[in-house]
Amino acid sequence: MARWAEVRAELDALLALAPDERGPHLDELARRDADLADEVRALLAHDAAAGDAFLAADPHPWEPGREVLRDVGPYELLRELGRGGMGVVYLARRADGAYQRRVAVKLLQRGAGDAGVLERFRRERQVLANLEHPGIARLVDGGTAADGTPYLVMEYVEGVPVDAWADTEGLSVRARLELFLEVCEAVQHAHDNLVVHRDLKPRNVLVAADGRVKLLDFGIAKVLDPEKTSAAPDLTVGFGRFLTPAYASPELVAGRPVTTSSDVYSLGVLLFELLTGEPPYRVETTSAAEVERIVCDTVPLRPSAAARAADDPARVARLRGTTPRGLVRALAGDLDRIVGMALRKEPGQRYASVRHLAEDVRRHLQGRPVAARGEGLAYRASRLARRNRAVVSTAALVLVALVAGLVTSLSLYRGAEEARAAEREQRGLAERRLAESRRLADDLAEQRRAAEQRLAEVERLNEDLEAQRALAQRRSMQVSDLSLRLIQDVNRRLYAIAGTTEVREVLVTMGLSYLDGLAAESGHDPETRLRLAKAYMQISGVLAAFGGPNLGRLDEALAAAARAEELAQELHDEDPDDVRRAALLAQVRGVLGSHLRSAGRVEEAAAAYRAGLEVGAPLAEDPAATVDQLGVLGAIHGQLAELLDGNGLLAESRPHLLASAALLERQVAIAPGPDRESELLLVRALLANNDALSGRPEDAVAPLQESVQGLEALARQHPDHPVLARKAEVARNWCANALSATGRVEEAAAMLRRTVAAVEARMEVDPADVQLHLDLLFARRYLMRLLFVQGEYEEFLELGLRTLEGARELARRRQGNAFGQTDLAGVLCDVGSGYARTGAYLEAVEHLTQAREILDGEVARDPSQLHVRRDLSRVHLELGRTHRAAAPPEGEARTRRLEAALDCFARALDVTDALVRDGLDRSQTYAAAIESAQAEVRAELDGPGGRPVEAGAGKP
Amino acid sequence: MNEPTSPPTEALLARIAAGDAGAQDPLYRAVRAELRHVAGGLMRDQADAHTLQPTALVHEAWIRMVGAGGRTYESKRHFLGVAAKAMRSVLVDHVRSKRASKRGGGAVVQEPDTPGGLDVAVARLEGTDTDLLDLEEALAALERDDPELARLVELRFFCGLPQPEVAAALGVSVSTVERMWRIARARLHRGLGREVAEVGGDGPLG
Repeated sequence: MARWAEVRAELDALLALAPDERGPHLDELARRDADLADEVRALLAHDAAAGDAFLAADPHPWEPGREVLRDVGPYELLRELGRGGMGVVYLARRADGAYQRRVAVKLLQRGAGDAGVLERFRRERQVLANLEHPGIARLVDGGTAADGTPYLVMEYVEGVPVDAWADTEGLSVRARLELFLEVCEAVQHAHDNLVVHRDLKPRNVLVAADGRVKLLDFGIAKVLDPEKTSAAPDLTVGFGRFLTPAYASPELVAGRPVTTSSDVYSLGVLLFELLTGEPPYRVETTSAAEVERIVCDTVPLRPSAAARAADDPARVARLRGTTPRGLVRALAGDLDRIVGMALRKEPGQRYASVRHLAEDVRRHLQGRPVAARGEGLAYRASRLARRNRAVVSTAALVLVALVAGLVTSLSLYRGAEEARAAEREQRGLAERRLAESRRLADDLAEQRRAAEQRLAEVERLNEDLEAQRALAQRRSMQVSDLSLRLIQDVNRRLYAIAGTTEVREVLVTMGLSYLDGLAAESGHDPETRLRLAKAYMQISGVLAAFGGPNLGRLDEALAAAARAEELAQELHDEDPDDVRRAALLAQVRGVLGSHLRSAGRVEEAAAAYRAGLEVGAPLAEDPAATVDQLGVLGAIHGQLAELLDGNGLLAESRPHLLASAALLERQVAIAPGPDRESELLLVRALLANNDALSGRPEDAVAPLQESVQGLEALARQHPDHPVLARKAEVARNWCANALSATGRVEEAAAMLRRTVAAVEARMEVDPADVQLHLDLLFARRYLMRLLFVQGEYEEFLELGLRTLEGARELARRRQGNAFGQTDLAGVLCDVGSGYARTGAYLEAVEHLTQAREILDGEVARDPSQLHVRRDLSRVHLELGRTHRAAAPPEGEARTRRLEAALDCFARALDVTDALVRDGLDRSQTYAAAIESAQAEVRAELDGPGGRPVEAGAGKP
Repeated sequence: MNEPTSPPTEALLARIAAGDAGAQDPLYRAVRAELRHVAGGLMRDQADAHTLQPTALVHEAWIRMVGAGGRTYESKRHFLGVAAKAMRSVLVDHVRSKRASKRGGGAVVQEPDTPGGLDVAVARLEGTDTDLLDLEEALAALERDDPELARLVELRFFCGLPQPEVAAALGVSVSTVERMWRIARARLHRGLGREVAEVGGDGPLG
């Protein structure tokens, strides 16, 4: 056989052809070399005669003594390929020689195959037959063996499980990802044909010797185990038979509907294992409940962390052609996120399809940014918290929800360039926090794992356990500490950005429940309690701040402030010499005062302010006091003065205004800044306004104009700072008031119109901010007053009705806030007066009566509200004037009207007399006005046929 | 993959040679583990691999390999080649010695063959109609013409490796190894004097 090499070459070529294609080639060969052709023909005949069974035996009886079914339907079983939950798989061929191709026959375990299997197989057959893809082993046939055992016949694939193959080939991470993409492509093809695999795992993903992947058992799971229908699925049996818990998705384990997303999850597990050499979970139990707990509740480590924690990191890395450090680097970031997203517990949180998953892997390979985002701390923390509520306090949960909410909410502020810059800053901050807390959460998870191991040895190693517990507690405290700082920092920064009230509301709602939880377990650590008090205080400010952006939730704000005061008081009592504690208590009392003021509890508010000043006063002389502590003191003086001014106690307010201005000047001199400078300008404006209200408007105009200019300049420099703009408006209102009192009505009107427009514009940006609605109300009322004085009753009424609408809305939103009611009454009174001036007496009486009812109620609730009583006297006066104006020229009706007017005047006088007794500034002036009206009406009643007097031009 | 593989069991072998029967179990385990290791996942699929019995074939082959001296193997490919050749000679020698003792007519006390014994391996390979010694003769003829195909037969038939492993061991693709196998099989089929429907005929198409 000297020519064997030629013979073999010819055979090699011919065997690659189908038998019926060899003729021409052999003929050609025969013409060229007849001997060679004969030899080749002879061997081809032996090839055909030998068949697959010749020399097909396996010498190794690995499992001796097993009975083997030799024939199953038309198939001859040649040898066993493997066995699993559903049965044994054999290499087989057609006994009738219908075709030569070898197949794999899956013989279902007796009892596992109920009659439904074949029925379902027949139903699925057409669908499965459509799955023509080079990466998918086809389901060829199915039937029942002679003994009744059902079987399925599949394309036979010679290959190695994908994970083993990747390891023996020493594939790099990149090569593994490319291999994984091939798997994805095959799965996607099946999904496009509406077939879900449901049992993807390395043993079902083979790699043939040519390196191509081939997926086994597509659609088999569905044939074997249709939709879980029973109300109480027997999971133990289900798992034993059909599923591989380590790869099953949570919805599969929990018996919920299974979609293509389930395969996305299993692919995530596969990728995890390809990358790290470890499964994401170790499921070693057969208890259904335990399996469900592990699969549904455990958050797996990130792949990079799993690679680091492997039993033999060096080996894992070597099999991937890299070093342990290199592997961790390769996995951290993108791949952690990609795997994490595929492994989400909720199907809706995963990649929408295998295509999306593959696309993200491809993006990573191409160095483009991936779509997968981190789970969000909220996700991890909620999982963590579910696993161990004792160790991980609500702190982690809330912290993380806060950050997550913050990051997404921040995308709201894309408006102004400055806002965008602030956003970036916030995002950076949040992301740094996120990373920090993630690390902590990971640490915590590791601590937890360690603690669990310890628990097993608890009898022997009690001391160790204690140590672990202490450590876990320390970790927990670190997490809560972090969250506390976060609430404070973020809140402070957000405060200075327009349009953030809603975000802050989210922050606050979560913060409150978190704080309550933390307070319960804070123990006695003074630092923690100090920060707690601050946090409560800040949260109360967001709920309802006097003059700043707020949510108008006064009751909650009061409760939070009271809680803060309690804590601060306690701290102060423990160490009265600590400047920080004294300053905190003073500040908290100031905040409490403003809330009380909002609630219309004037006396309590003044008392709180005074108590704050009392504890804070020594600070003014204390060399250890910081600039901010001085500022706190100045602010309290200012707020107390404002309260007194508002209540008409102008003289009493003056010293506080002076003290406030002095302290703020000191503060600004040392540490200038928009907040402090504006506060000082405002206090100066308040001082001037005090002059104006005290009857010296001519002295007030110049300093008010100066303050307005200063505040407007500041607001221009910091356009996104809502408090600055507001302060400028407040000062403008006072200025306009003073201007109109000195007869410069046109200037005043222009100023007020500008303010109304500005507030309306800001309201567009942050409609949730109650303070803006309030500002608008004030600005409109100042303008109304001017219009009234000018006699522009029609414009006055038009504006008045719009304002009334706003006031009703505000009263509804400011629940528990007395100003909501008294402001509404004020506007009702304004509108009533306007109607009276236009002769619509019916409407006038109706509005004025409504106002009177509200004010009666408020006075009864808290008589210390001097300004409310003054408003009540005004309403009585206006009612009297209306009756008088409405009186017909003569007759009994005239008399009745004039008597009604006298009655109203008398009530007005009663109220006013009491105010004079209580020391309300300028109340004598009011009394005098009422008395003169009284006298006029009496004269009309007495003078027969006297004509009705024109309605006076009293202030509404 | 190309790290030299050293037999870990020489000490065990020395103990067996010194009559220490207690060394046999550990040796079996070591050999099987070694084979499994180099076979790279061959049996990984067998869910209940831990119930497998070590076979006399693997055992004897290993003794031959180790007995040949403290050699090392350059690669998995090399190791498998040597192991397959050893199995071939173990089996052939076993059949020869049995025939010899029968011909000699001596009263040979046959140990009852264990389920994993050599007789079982021979019986499995011979099936109903193949004589191992005839096959050996045909294989030797093939080997003279084509050592590569003989390697293939050793790996696939005597060692029982699945096709992808054989392909890897020979360094060719699965489809190539499939064609090589059919050529070798045709040669052995003819070498055993088996019949075909139309020897030297015009082929299926006529």
